[in-house]
Amino acid sequence: MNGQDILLDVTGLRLSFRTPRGTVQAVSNASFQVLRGEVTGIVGESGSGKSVTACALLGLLARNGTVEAGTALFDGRDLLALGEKDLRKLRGSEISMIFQDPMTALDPVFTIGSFLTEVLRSHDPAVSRREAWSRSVQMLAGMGIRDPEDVMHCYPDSLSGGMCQRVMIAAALLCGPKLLIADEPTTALDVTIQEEILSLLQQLKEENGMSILFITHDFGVVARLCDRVAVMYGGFVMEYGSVEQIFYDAAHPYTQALLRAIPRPEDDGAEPMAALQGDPIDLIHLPEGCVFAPRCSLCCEDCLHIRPAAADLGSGHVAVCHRIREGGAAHV
Amino acid sequence: MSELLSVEHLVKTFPTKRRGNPPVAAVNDVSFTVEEGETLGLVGESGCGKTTLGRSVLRLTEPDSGRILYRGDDLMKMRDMRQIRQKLQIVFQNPSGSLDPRMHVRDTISEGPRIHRMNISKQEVRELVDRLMHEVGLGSEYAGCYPSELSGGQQQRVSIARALAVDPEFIVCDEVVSALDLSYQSQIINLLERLQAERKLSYLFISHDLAVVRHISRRIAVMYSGRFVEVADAGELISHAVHPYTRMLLRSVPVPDPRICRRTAGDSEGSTSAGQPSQTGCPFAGRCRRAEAACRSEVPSLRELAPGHFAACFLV
Amino acid sequence: MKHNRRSFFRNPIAITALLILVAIILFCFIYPLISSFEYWQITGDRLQPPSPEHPLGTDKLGRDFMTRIAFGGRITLSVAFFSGLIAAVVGTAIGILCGYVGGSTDSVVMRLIDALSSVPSLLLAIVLDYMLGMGRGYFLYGIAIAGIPPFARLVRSATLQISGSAYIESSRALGARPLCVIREHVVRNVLPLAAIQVTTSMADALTICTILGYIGVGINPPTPEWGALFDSGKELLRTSSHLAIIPAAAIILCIICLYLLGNGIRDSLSSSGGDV
Repeated sequence: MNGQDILLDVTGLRLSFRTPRGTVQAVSNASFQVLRGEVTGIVGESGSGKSVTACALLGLLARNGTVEAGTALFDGRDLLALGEKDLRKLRGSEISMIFQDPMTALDPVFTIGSFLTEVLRSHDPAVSRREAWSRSVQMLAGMGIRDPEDVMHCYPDSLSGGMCQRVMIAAALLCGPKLLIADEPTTALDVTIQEEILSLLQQLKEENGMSILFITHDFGVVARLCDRVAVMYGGFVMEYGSVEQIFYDAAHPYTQALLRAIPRPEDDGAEPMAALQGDPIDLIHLPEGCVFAPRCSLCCEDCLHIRPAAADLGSGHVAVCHRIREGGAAHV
Repeated sequence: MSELLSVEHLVKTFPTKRRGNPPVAAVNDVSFTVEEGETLGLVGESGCGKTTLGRSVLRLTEPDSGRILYRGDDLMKMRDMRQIRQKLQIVFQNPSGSLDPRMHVRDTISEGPRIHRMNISKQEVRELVDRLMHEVGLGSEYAGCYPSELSGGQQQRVSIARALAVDPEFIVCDEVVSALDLSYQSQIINLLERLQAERKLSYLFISHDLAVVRHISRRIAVMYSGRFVEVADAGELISHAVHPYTRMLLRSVPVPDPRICRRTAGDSEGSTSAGQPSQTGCPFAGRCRRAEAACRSEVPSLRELAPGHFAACFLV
Repeated sequence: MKHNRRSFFRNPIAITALLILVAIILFCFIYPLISSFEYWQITGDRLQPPSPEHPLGTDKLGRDFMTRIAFGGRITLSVAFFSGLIAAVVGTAIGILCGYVGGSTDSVVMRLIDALSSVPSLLLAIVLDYMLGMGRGYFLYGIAIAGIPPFARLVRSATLQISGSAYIESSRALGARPLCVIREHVVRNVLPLAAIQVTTSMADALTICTILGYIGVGINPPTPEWGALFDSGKELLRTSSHLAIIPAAAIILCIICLYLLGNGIRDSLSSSGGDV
């Protein structure tokens, strides 16, 4: 992999939140990359740390959150070391973010038109209203919206969830960012609408060379859209590799278990579904060994007491597990 | 297997907020049957009326018209549903919202028996709760906990135990796994299947997730805009769906397999950036690529195309 | 409720307020029993400054002031407590009824509540006192009645919110009758909110009671009451200022403590509800 191709390189990210009940170690060790023109997916269940990882990159953590360690090199600059002023310049213009619930992300008292023109003009005050309007209309059309002029005059409450998400994507892309961070953008949408949004994102990737960091819990979406995948659990990236490596050659027991647990339409129900045993971990009191050990069918003595290091499986495929020998996968 | 529940021509409308607009029919002339020990899956996207249908069958939401025959008795004609409610239960989607945040797990599970005075003595109630918790796979150490101390999967188990406590025969599962993480979804699905086998339960399994519905159901009904558009055996529906909406739904579900999934955007049965469903004619006509004049003027009814396979479409 | 109690007891301000209130209450009820004087007992020495015999001195008629303060506190605090309690019970019942049943019952009753809240509580207390016999404490009911609307509104909106919950629907699905649902679920979820309002109501009742005492309505002399004591003490501010300052300080202290207590209850509730 060429160093030039790497747009975002996150290494050793570690962050926590102070709460009345104690310090929540939301992310203990996250490392992954987003290459130019590619989609990297971060997949995990709730509590895995995937969403806060994305927020941390743009300095959008809640007030009680601290980035404790790690670097996030974006075009040579470490995002985690930047101050608020520099980050604000980056947001929207070089890195944009879209979120899960588009209906609540839009201010209901402003029309779509005023929202989009304001986005443009706040980044570049030199742009005239007329020009901002026409660029916005163009962008909406590029999102596959049939009557962009009409939509510009609408208020958010007259638009469907799918339309709102298209508007949000349009707003995110208005200033031509290099990287789009999408935090579960289709989770709240119907599956048919989701397919449209994913098609749109794929189109953006293929035609515009857009790079996307896509956060999700849905492996189907990952298979549909992503080129590289990081699987997170309990604040750790458990496995990272290309989408083929993850789906066809999964090395980590957690990834393997998750893939087995996915319900598939061809599955006729004769066998019970492959389920993961156990209960979620407590992020305030992390175990001293591997965080997945209590639920892992391959758990050994080392797993319980020693945090596993990343094992390099070649071709950019990395898994964090004791039971993997170099070049091989963990076998159940 | 004998017929347990038979719903005939059920209708439920809600008034629209804007005056002048006709009321919206959330459930529009729906009929189906569920047999003993069977799971009927109900699939549809948001707003199709599946949740309203589930509630209407239990008369939690009062239907406007139709018949609901439970073992021959018409529930619509009953004045006091209390007794029969023991036989027909429901488990909801949102695990935390469906449990009283200020009640212990033990009190929540025993609520049903206490209402119906099924077990009078405290000791018997305790024993029942312990048995039920064991049955749903919850350790008895959780009996004194509050819902906020449990995970989503555990909360859902409590909801299931609460429903089981009154010894039902039919349970409406309203998106019971949709709010759960993947690792808990399979646990709960397996639990439901085991309970069905052990207790001879029938389920109306409502979900938007086709794969999950396929796994647990014997037959599946696809709902769109208040009507059933296709009903078939689960395997038959997945492999040989005929209705344009069902086919669009199936194509939209992202398969967790990159090689199969990676296709270029395009050919689908219908467009999805649609307006309101049409008031006259087939509800899907507005979005259907193959819609013809007849589709817009007349409502197609469910026709049997093959044994056990029904579809509501003029074009198949 | 485990969370509630634990986080409440970690709140030093609320605990202090509670302890102060308890101390004042204990003083008011116990001191007159152990004092060597009665509150109406006129000794020879008038307007004496604080001394070992009279810890707070004597008033203008020569009565032991400490005993009068304590006894007055009994009256004032009892009125505040009972009127707050009556308002709470009646207001909560009305709120639950309106919130759960809804429909025309809700509309009619809430309109009556609105009408009631438009009457100034002070006026209502005076009128009731006058109608039912002056000086015999019936103004307590006036204060109580005037305190009902905030409870009714608060509890009604909480009930409305709860009524839409899935666990209420589950209860109905299990076959519970409305009264059963209310008893099992609505009350226990609404009670914490009502608890916060109780302290506010008691503080308001305390204020009104002392105002009434100050203007001479309510309890008849020689029965002391903090407001009345302040009224008679204010004339002597220059010479025997303690006769005015002490009742005033007692009133203010109690009101502040009630509000701090209410804040503490509210904080402990919100900390148990929300999570990380």
